[in-house]
Amino acid sequence: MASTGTAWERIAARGGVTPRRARTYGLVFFGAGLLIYLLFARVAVAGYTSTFVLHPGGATQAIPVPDLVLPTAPALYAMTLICAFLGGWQLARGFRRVNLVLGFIAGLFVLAFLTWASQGRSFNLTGMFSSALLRAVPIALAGLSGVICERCAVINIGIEGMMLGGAFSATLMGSLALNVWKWPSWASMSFGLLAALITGALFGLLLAVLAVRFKVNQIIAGTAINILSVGVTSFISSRILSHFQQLNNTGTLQPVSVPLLSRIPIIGPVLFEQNLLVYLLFILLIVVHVVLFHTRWGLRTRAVGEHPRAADTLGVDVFKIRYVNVTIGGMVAALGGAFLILGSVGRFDELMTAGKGFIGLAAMIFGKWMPFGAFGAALIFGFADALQVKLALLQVPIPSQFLLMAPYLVTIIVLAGVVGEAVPPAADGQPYEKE
Amino acid sequence: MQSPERFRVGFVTDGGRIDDGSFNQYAYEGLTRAAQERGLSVDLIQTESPAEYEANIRRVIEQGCHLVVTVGSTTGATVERIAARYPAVHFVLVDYTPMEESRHVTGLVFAEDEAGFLAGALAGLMTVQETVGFVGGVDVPPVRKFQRGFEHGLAFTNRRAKLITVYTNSFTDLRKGEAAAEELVGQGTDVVFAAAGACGGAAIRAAAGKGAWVIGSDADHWVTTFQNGQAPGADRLLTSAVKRVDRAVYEAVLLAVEGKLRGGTLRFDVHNDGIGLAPYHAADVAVPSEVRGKILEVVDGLRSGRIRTRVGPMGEDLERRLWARITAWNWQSAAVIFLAIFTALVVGAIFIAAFDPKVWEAFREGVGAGLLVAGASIVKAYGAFFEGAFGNPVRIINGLQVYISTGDSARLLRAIYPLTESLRLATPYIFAGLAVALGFRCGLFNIGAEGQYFIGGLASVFVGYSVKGLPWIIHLPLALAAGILGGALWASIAGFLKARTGAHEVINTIMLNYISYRLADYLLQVGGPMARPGDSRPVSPEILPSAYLPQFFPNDLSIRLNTGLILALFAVWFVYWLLFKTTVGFEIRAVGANPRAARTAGISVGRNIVLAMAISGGLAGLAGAHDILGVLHFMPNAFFSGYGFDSIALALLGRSHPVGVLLAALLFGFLRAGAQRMQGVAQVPIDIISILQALIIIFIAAPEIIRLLYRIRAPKEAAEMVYTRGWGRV
Repeated sequence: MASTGTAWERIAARGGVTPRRARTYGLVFFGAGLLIYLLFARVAVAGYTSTFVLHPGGATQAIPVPDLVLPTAPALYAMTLICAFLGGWQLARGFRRVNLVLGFIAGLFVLAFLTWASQGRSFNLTGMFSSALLRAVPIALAGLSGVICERCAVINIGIEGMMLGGAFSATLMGSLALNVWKWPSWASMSFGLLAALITGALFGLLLAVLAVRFKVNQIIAGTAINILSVGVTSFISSRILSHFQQLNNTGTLQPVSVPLLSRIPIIGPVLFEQNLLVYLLFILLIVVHVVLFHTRWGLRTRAVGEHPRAADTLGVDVFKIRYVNVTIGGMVAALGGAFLILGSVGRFDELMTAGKGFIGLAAMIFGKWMPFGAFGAALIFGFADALQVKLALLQVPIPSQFLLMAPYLVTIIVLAGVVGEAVPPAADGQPYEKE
Repeated sequence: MQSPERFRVGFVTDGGRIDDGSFNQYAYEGLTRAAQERGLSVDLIQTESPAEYEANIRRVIEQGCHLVVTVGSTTGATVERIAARYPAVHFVLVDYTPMEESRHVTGLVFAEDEAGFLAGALAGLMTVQETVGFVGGVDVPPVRKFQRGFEHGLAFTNRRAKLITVYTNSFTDLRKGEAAAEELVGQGTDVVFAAAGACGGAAIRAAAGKGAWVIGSDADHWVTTFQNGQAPGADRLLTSAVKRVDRAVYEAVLLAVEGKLRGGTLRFDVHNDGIGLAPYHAADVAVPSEVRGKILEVVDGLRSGRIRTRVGPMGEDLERRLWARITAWNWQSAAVIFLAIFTALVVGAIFIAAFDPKVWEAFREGVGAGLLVAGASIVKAYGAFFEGAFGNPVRIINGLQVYISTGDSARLLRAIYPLTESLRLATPYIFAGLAVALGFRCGLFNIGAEGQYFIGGLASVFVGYSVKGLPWIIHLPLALAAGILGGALWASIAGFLKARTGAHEVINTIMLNYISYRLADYLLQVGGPMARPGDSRPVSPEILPSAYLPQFFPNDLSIRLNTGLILALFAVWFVYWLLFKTTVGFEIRAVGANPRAARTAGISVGRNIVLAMAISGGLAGLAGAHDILGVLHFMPNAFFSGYGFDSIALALLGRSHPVGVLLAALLFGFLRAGAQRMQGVAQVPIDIISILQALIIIFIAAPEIIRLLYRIRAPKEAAEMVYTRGWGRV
């Protein structure tokens, strides 16, 4: 570490940031402590406790864990002090991994909020994480779709529409098989899933044709796909689904426990007592990561995303890579839509994706165009989403509409804070023209 | 600055000699004068045959010339092509407008129209038989400019004079020139003006031989055609409308030596003595002094701009410009738009038929019956559609008859109700479409018109019901301003984030949309801060009548068309003015076209992004204010109005031009009014509009699809329109 210069420069050098930023971080840590004090600790009722249940309700194979019981006010004061201490340390000495500390403070702030919100009551933290994961799945799939498309330099704004289309065809075909043809549940769900994948592939192909063959501005092409999907699904839905209710009921996938793994306390029930589509996401994440970074196809995809002209010179078929990747991207997005139906509610509503495709894009950017990065970001969005539902149940004195805004606000904050540092594939969004 | 001693200029003739009495000679004279004054070295190559031309130009470049001067009237494109390979060498092309924008190719252009105008003015004063002739060579812009200028100059001094125009289609065929002159004189002309190169020289010599007054062009024909007055007929030469090529080349060479030549075109006109009338020479005695005075007046008028030639840069007639514009309209791109709409309607028809349960039943009975019912279903739906959009023509005519015979307008108003409803629905579309179009011009994709509409509506309704006791002249503008401000502030959040952090406006405006829904939901919920007290529905209080946008038909309040339409037309004009007539608009467009170049030029990219986003949001907010103040008079908690997506289609359809957006908005107004009726009469869900819109967007963004479908040939290269960019910082 540099030993010359002012104290500020030394602190900044330790954290690898500019002096101004290092100071801002310190003040933010202090500010978080102050907010915890003003908003929560000060108004906490003396003598109350906050109970965090670490064991999911219902039948579970997990090894039981005792509940975490915190005396509300003292716990909040302790958190205030931790924040103040970390802020002081940052201002005086400086942290090496300052971003990690920032993440810790953010988590602490959320915990403080939950401690305050659940004072005198009990709050099922494991259930909360479980529901956060469920809510993160469609966002993660949308983000993954974005990663697959943008790694070969095609921006896919149409993910929202592809999800909606996937959700719709999964509903229609799944219900048709289940309620009209009287197929068994697993078969009709697979059929619905297949229909969703085909729809997604068609939408992906449409985007690829528009972006690659006709060189349409990709954002406009994606927007057109969104509008088309809204129009077609709402049109058919109000023409058919509203008249034939049996066509709008697929049933939902039941959770399947993974032997052994689901017995791990806390993590087990969260990660390994989910439905099959959640496991499919885990598999997809690994597959996409391996393919992207450890196979020839992945190398070619990334080459096309960074420098299509050079890739072309070396004999890579730029158009083929883009067609295939975007089509697969469409399928992954539609899978996210199918999850909304089969993995969660079992029936279709007009405009039911409610911006999840766009949030997925934000997750992709936040995750720096990496599959697991996008998944991590999706977890944050899923948490924000699950939190607002739980808080409504806890009857926190905050209007529910403001809680509902949370995922969208988080998206804006994340984009604003991160994109300045995140670097998209160099050729992202540019049509390629053969010479 | 380069040292003048070492500055080398190359001059290559285009096939003529440097004593050809034409541009080569004059250009060389100007060059020689500059060379003598500044001590430049000149490399001269006189081209013997056209085949050598390119090689000759390369030769002077390889000899190390810093500047190459050529006469470009016929060979300019060739020179320009060569020039692209030698960016370090400057090229000056006489009488040529460079096609490509480049900093080392300069065209010298002349105001032939002004020269022609002066000749025409003189001809009008000198003619006795009130008949004047014009001989043109090939119909190219410079000749066309001479002709139009001559025509307008003639009309300026002599309204009764008749002009006979002959084109010989040649610059070199002397016979054709003579024949043209004979024909003109035979038809009674007593003044002949020729702009046809050597062919024109022959024409005026022949006409002078027949005793007519003649006027030459380009150079002083006293010197050339009439061999310094030695040739017969020289006394009939009135003057010549000259292009001072020598002077132009002289100026351009001096600029080049000083390093001030920047490419593009240099224009030479009356103002800088680049064109003018040659001396009267032998005709001096025959030209009356009041004619000379009048000509000097015209020269003065052209100089000061008091008199205009009304001729465009390509020789087009500006008097008939409107008509010319309509005929020169890009019919092909109009055809693509029309076919895009048509194709979308066809696909829509398929949707209507394919999802009609009655059609399914009919198909069970047989294909013929199925097709029949499908056709009937489409006709019923689109019939309702057109009646909903335009009204029933029979009822309108009946209503008109009643109105004319009795003066009772009630039936007429009932009949035109669908039409007014279409216009009423088009009004917010105009605002919202303008909003997105303005964003596109700055390279911003504002998908958030929906949220800005909501916030604008919320702000205007708040001012509308909470501010009391104001006269409408203050209250209404205040409520409108609140709408603009609300939308503008809401949109500038996304603009600010884009400018500061590079966060893409597409995602942020969509997130702001969802936030605005929740905000409206919170504010308007029963018992909420903006809810109507004592009402069980989530609605705002009624606004005061002093904040109403006045109705067009106050005696029939069911017609909801209001003065917001006029406001919308004003907004069209405003956006046009802002974008194309102001510095602000220029900067916005510069940022949209190329942010890096704009930054290099000293334009603040971030500031313009925030500004464009704010104006865009203000327009979308006005759409909300219109619906509140003009139509609903309160704010319901509607979840999804659809303006966000509609306005994108509008901006694309209108090619981001305010007038185009206006037309597209009218179309969408008709679409929506029609679709509402279609839903009521034929049970076709109104979502059909989204399908039509998506298809129209796809077809217009990818016109190749339409061209493939209908086998239309591709147009000439059109300027590419920037809509929006990818992620990351700009």
